[in-house]
Amino acid sequence: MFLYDKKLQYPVKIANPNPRLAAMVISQYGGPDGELGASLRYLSQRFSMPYPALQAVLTDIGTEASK
Amino acid sequence: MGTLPACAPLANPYVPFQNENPKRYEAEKGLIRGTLFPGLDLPYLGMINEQEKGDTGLAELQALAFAINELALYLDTHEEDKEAAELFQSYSDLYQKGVETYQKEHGPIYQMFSVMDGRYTWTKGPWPWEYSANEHGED
Repeated sequence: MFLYDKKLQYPVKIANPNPRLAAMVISQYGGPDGELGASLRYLSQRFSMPYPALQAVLTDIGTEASK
Repeated sequence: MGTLPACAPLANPYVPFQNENPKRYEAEKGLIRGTLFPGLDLPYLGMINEQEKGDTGLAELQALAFAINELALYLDTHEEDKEAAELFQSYSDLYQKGVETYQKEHGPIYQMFSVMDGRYTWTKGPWPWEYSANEHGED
């Protein structure tokens, strides 16, 4: 289960707004081959992972990648 | 069988509306059945979930979290509702206390609390999707 933390992982201050760059960054997040897709793959691979330590790793990186 | 005149409708849809003060399940039963209202309880292929949630700390936390989530959805669009805000706060307090008690006995729910007696316990099973995780609550 997921909780949303209302904070960023790293402080961001946009000095020069750039819509074209923003669109690229956003597609790296939610687009094809983006972080969200990767995160769901980690989270579904953990169900067939036989090693507890690696179940933990897949859970943790899958969670991190969706943030 | 005859044919209807061309002006006749082919089908009449019927949409029953939920009346005021409809029948309700007890909260606990609603949680098991997935709806508070018998009129909306339409099990897929007649498969009914009758499995009682154990009277466990975990079940209590799950029920509290459900109530908190639902209140949050309501409050997102009704932030002036003081009564709902107070209820949200009181459930959140209960949840926090419950988590503390539960984690001491059964291990971490949140990774942030996974060091216990100086040991990192996050990787210790069972994971919640493993069947045995649903049994240990009985003790």
